[in-house]
Amino acid sequence: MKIYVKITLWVCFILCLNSLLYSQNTNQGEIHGNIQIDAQTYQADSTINAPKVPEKMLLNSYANLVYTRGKFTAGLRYEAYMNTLLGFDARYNGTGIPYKYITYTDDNLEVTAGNFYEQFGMGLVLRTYEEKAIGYDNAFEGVRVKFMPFKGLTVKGLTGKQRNFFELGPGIVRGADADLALNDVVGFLQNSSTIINLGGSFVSKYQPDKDPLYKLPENVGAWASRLQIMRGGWSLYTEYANKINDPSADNRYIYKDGQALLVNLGYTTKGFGWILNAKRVDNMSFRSDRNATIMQLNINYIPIFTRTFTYTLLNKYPYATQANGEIGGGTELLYKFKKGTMLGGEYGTNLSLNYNRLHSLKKNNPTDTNAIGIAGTLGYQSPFFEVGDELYYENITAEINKKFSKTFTANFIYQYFAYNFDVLRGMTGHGMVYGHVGVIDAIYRFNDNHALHLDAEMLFTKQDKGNWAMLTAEYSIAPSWFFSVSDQMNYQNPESNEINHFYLGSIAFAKGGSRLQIGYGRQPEGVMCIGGVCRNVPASNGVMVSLSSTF
Amino acid sequence: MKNVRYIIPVLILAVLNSFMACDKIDAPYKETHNTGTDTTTYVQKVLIEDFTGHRCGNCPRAHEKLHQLITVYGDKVIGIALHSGFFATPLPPNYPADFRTTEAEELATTFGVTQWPIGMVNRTAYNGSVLLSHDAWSEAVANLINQTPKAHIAIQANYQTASSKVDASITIKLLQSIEVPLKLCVYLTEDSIISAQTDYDMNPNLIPNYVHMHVFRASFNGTWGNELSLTGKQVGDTLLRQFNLTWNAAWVKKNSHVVAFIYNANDNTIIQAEQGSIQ
Repeated sequence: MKIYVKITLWVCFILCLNSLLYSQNTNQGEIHGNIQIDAQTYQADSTINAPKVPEKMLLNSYANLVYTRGKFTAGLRYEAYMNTLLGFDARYNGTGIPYKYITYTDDNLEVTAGNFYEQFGMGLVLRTYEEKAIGYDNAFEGVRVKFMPFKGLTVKGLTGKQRNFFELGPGIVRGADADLALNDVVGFLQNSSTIINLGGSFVSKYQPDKDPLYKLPENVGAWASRLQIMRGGWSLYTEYANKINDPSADNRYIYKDGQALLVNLGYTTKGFGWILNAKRVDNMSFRSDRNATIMQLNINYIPIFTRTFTYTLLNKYPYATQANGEIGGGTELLYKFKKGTMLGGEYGTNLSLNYNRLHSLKKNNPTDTNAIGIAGTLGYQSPFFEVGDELYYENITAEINKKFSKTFTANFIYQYFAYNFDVLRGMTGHGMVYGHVGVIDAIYRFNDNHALHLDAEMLFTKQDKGNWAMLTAEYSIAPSWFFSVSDQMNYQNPESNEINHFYLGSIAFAKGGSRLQIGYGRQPEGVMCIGGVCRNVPASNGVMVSLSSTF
Repeated sequence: MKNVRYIIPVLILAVLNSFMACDKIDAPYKETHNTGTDTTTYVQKVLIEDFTGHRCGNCPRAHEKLHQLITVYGDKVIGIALHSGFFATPLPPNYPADFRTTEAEELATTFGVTQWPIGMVNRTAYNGSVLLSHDAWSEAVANLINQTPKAHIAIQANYQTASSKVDASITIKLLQSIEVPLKLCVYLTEDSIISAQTDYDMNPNLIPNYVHMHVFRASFNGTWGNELSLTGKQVGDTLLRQFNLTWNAAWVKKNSHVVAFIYNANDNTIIQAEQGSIQ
């Protein structure tokens, strides 16, 4: 029966597209899209513990198609995992069209039926998005209405289920959000240089209670409010969220309410910027299946304030947001030394300083038991303004970006970090990892088309796998060719048989909207633990082929 | 009059919100049970296969959940611990034991296990997934356990000293007509093995004397078992199948069990299971 309904819906969808395409209108609309194919061969390599892969080759691929005509947009995404690349969830294995939608947009109304992504405020109670690189996709399937009754007010309402690999999760999510630009509405603010925006959201999920062990809430509500004030170079953004009892796999079935507060304060002027942020997150994991784990079925998103880098060794020990509880903050200073000054030189020098520190929450015994965190109790009490004793993460980062001449530019980074391995990877027995990372990244341009890019990175730590070094050289011939070789090595690994070279070489060719990259090399292994579930991302050795095309 | 337009969106929100009620739960949060022993002759049994490993620090949470369900449902819930994958590899000197078996590895690969702990409840999809996190097991068990059984399995297992083998006689009684092709699997599990386990809830996390329960040891008839033909059989008929397994001296007989189950060969879903001790 179900298959017939599916087929009927598909026929309707195609007919709809067809009638749009071939109706006797002057405007025939436009089709755009993109395709991405990533494949890798795997060979067993005992020196780096790369396992044997029975398929010998694995492949992730997808294609997006978007058709726009007048007030209508329709689109779909086909995905194929045959089978998933190592490190991705094997539940993606297979093919399908998990994303398809039709949107109607008018002056003050937008209606979407099918799949969609949405975000309320910073996402503390609702944010869906996709990130192919890590296999994250929590898209809604349902309906969404955006309504702008008058200038300054946007109201959104949605209901849907969420994507769970090639299925939908069991829970139904209902949400509403309003965004009010006060300057457009309140008379005396209309010409004011102070800009004030207000917002509020309410989200509720429904999942039946079929659990024989616990009395579970079937409807779990969460709300959030936000305020943004901007004046001159100053800006303040704050968002507060609250969620009622939501026992789940993430919080180990405790019945405490959840809450989260974010505050961002910033000042910018020409050549100078300063940001201060603070956050407190307490029991705010929110999923449309209470038993989902890792990257499945998240309704909300806890923003991460620590700066993220693309450099490999700066990503060996990255901070991961702790939805179960964290308190901390950070600050960043950006300064540009002007041209012609001693530090600025001929072209000016950019300096950025960054500091972050995050701790556990202070937890006291709950009222209904004398132990913390027992399933089927309130779990714990947490005084709002007190900081827990356990350090989760700390970093100090300095970055200098300098253009020395018309042909030579370089970037220098130093970072000190303290990383709570036990908490951030969900596995005890490792303790804290303290380290220093240095990066020198230089680009030399021979002429308009030829450029050489050299990147040297060092990571020094006495814990975990010891010191790492990495060198990368890239040569590009614009606009089509790109050559790269790199090697990383944990040269002071306390386990001497784990000291290995992880070399990687690749060639890429780009033309028009298409790019083909072929590489060969080794990648080191890692163990990833999120929400109490661990996945071993094995080392690999093989040929990588990546093809992308946009049209 | 101009203000009327402000009211519309507020009303929309109010109406939406009124639909989205919250369920505030008051203590006690745990359900009270009166399950105990089921006195009916034939009951549906539920097999939980727990993919686990002695170096998997979150796996004791799944062991606890299985124990909790066996406490609530008694012998209607049967457990098998399938030590498999990276976290099951031995790491001397602290983790010398090797509980891995080719059968468990094959099951892990076939069902696509890439994270531990994870499990299957009668190899039946619940909320679209056959692989379930341990927090979802209780719901999945509740969903299956009150079904009217389609078959009944009885196990008679005897140790033969002369041949150092265990003979297992499996009797299957048809209680309803079954239209799908069936297979019968017979496994051996062992309880109360004292060996190391990582437990992230403990400090230090190495538990040298952890008690391992339901450890899969061997199969009498391979990972996927034998076909069980129902040709010519009527509801009420019984089928007898006999198997034997060479005993490994390292196993403890009084702690071992024979687990037999029949499953739909088309989609792997388990129809009935049983557990018996060795005489």
